[in-house]
Amino acid sequence: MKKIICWAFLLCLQVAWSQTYNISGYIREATTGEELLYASVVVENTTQGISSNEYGYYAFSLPPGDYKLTFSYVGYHSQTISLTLTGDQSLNVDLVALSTQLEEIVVSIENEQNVVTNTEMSVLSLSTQEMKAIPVLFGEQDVLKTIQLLPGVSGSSEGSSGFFVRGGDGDQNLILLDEAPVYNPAHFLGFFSVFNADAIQNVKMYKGGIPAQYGGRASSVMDVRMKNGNMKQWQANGGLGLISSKLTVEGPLKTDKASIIISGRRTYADILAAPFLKDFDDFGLYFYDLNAKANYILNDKNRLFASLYFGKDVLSTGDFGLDWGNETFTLRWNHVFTPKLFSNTALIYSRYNYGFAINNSGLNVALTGGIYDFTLKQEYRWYRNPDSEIRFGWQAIFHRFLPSNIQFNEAEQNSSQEQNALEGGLYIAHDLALSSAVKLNYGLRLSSFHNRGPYVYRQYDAIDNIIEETAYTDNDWFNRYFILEPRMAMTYLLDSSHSVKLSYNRNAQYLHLLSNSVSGSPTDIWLPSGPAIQPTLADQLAVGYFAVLNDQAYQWSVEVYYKDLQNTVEYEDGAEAFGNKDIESQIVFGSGRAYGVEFLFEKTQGDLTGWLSYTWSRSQRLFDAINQGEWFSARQDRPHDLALVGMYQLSERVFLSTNWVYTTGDAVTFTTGKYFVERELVNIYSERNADRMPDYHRLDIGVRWLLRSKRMNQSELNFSLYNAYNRRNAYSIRFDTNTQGQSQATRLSLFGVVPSISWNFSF
Amino acid sequence: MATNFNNRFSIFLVFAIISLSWGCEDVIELDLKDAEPRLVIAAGLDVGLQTLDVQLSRSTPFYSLDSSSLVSDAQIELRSPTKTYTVAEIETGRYQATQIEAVSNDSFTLVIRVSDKSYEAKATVPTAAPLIDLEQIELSDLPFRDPSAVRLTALIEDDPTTKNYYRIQLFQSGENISEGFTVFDDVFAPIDTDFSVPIRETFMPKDTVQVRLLSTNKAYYDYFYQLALVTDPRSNDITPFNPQGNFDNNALGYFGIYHASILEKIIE
Repeated sequence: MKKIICWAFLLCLQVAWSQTYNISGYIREATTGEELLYASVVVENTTQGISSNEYGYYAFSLPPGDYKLTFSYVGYHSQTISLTLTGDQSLNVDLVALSTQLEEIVVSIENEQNVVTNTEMSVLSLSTQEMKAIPVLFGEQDVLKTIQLLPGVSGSSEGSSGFFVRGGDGDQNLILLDEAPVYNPAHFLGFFSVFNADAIQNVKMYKGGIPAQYGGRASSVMDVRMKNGNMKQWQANGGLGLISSKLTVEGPLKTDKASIIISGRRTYADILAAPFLKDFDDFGLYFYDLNAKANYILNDKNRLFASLYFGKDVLSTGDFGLDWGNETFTLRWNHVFTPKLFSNTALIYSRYNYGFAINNSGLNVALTGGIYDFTLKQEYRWYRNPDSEIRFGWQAIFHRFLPSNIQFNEAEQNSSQEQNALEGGLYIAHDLALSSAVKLNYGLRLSSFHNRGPYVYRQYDAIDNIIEETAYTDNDWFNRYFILEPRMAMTYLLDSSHSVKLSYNRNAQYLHLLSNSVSGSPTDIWLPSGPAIQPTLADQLAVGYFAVLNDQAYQWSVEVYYKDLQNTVEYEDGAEAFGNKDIESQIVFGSGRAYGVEFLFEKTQGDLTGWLSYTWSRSQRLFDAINQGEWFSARQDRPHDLALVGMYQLSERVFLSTNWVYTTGDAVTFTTGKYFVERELVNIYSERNADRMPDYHRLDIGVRWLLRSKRMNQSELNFSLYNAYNRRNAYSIRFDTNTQGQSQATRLSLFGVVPSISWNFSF
Repeated sequence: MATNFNNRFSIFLVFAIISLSWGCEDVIELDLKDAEPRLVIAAGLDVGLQTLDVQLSRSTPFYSLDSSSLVSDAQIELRSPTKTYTVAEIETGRYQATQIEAVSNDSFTLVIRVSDKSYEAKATVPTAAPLIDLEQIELSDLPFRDPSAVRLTALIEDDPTTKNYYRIQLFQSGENISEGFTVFDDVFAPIDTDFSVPIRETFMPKDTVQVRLLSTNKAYYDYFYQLALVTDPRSNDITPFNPQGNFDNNALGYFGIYHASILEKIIE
């Protein structure tokens, strides 16, 4: 009898589910038609709530009945829609921005409705509003510098856009621009990033709890989405600054059907310096980049996107030149099979390359290298029922690693061999509400990596002599890795304002960036995993407590994490990287661990907004060949990292912002003695990274002043002071001798106080 | 090539940018830890001169005003496959042995005993490669460079059948004027013509320059390559490390064997 009741109950449930109807559509910005990513949809008087996906699409199902749906997004008026659900319903919603005036700027690191309820943790999400509100070096708004003000993310060096996430290495961050990997996100050796804030719509960073759809890097994913372009009307905006200028034009190719956006930026340090360098031909010191994107809504079920990025840095004189740059191209097709099944198919091309040449007085050296990627991926999102969403897909990336090719006078040498590899990923993840209080996201990613010839695999003895060679031809697939990467995140809702979250993820990384300098160089070499280089593996466990307070005016969170790293790769001490065809003989392998506590408190509403971010963390490494096999601090091991960000509305047209940062100094190796070889001072070093640079702190101040203009929609002046109290933070410390032959420590500071001004406009 | 171009031009770029901003340098006092003094050995066997010179010293604390602490009363032996030479102290901390017979591929072992501790290193006699000529090249204009400065290019008769390693030293009036250490291998040497290597130092008209090319072995090259990395004032971006010489027992320094070839040039 019990069995029959049970069967009957299940049948009723089945019938009940079958009597639900779908509500789906896109959430858009009202004036531009731009999709709003990760916007929130809540069904009033229920516990149900979801977010739009990374294309602005949402879908869920409800039983027949009367409902009130509230759509909201940070910085926009919420919109509540009443409806009577009697069948499947398509519902596109346009949200209206609070205002374009400064006083309405709302700053939040994550959509506050979701921060407590969803299963994601260790996630940072930024819109261009946050980026534009915060003062930065040279007044150039920069997502990579803004994100360094958040817990768990630290900059690689003064003024740099390079970053470390939760103690991971710099190459362990997957940086995606419209799904295309960006291998070097730095302009001007890191002082600027490749991301033009005017072309960016949204940035989302996963420090942990990395979902199954992402793979290929050990520590983090930074998913940057470009704007789609205004679907309603043509508009232009831009800016003139001391260092660079930019212009963005966007508009409808066909109203509400197709749009395009083109955004360009160029620095002009060379033009400013030209009057002082009249005697030198072809002097160049600049970067430029171009973002372009077009999209076309074919019909309710199909949409095409094509996006492009092209950027280049140039430093040249008549007989010396260095350039490097990224190119990405993404072609995407969004297809809605049914309201419950959404798919995205993407074809992606990404390239990073560099070139360096000297042709001067008998010294003719040229260096080239790079990496190419061709990616095909498909993803499906199946919105099964209100409590269950399944995401699955696959991707294949064909990597081509160009060797670091060096020409010296007439001779030519490769630092590494050209290599080819196919990286694959197959994944499935299930977002499941187990009850009104417990939500679970669990998934599995199967990643693979196959090396392909031609390639000569060399094995070396302890003193780097070749002891065996195996040659592979064009058609040989000679090495395979398959790694299962479980991903899991769970939320336990204590009440509507408080939750506890837990996440675990394993990530495999098959690409390794080799750098023999502390701050990195454009010519650093990417090498694939292979017979001699194992993939890096990261396992991370995180626990967090999340809360929103006072009608969501405040939110705070605390997260604890532990990350274990295996097979991390470094150059050995004194590695000969230049012109060494046996570069793999110069590599050592080790492991690492990173752990810490992150605290974030945000005030998101009112005249005064901002956040306080504090991280206590450690990051350590273990290599047999380094530090006598003992654990040592990674350079980015900075136990204390504090950022205080404040934005204050002074008047209708004046907006003040400030941030103060403090971090423990980098872990570095100071000399413990000296000797001389032929008059040259040679320092002796003991423990690796056992010393500390002086602590780093800095105050930045910014003022945005909205100008009155009849001809423009908006015109504003931005003033900023970087390092306002002129702190001489050490970029490096050199140990050498002075002219009297006495040993001394010399500190190099990159920036004192740096004022800047820029004018931004839109019409 | 030994000079680390990767770091060089990244550092060049950093400095270019610094010069356009507000960068500055100042001397600071640091509370440094002092390691135990270690024996430093500089030992070179000049095959042509048939002479071995050894200098022994100890490392000192960084802020010590002593440039070196020379070590006397060491017992030093040089062992060839057929003979053992005694190396005598000729002045405080300096030792020498002469009339050493060495031919290519001979292996020598240098044994040093200091205060009851023994230090040993092995080295092999390399192939000789003569310095054929020095060519003078006018420098093209570059920012911050004296327009009358010139550069020299060394022409080397490299043996393409063997892997060769070199070091260049510069002297003026008998004084070593080399900027740091310049070592290189023959990876870029053409097969059918002489190996042309530009010398990075620049000279002025009427300078008399003596160029000394050392044909050496890999261990010597490796050590001086690492020295070049850590002593280049522009390479403070490199992760610090201790160059690994070929002595055991935690001694610093090297034992190298080389052929020296010397040419002199008066700059026009």
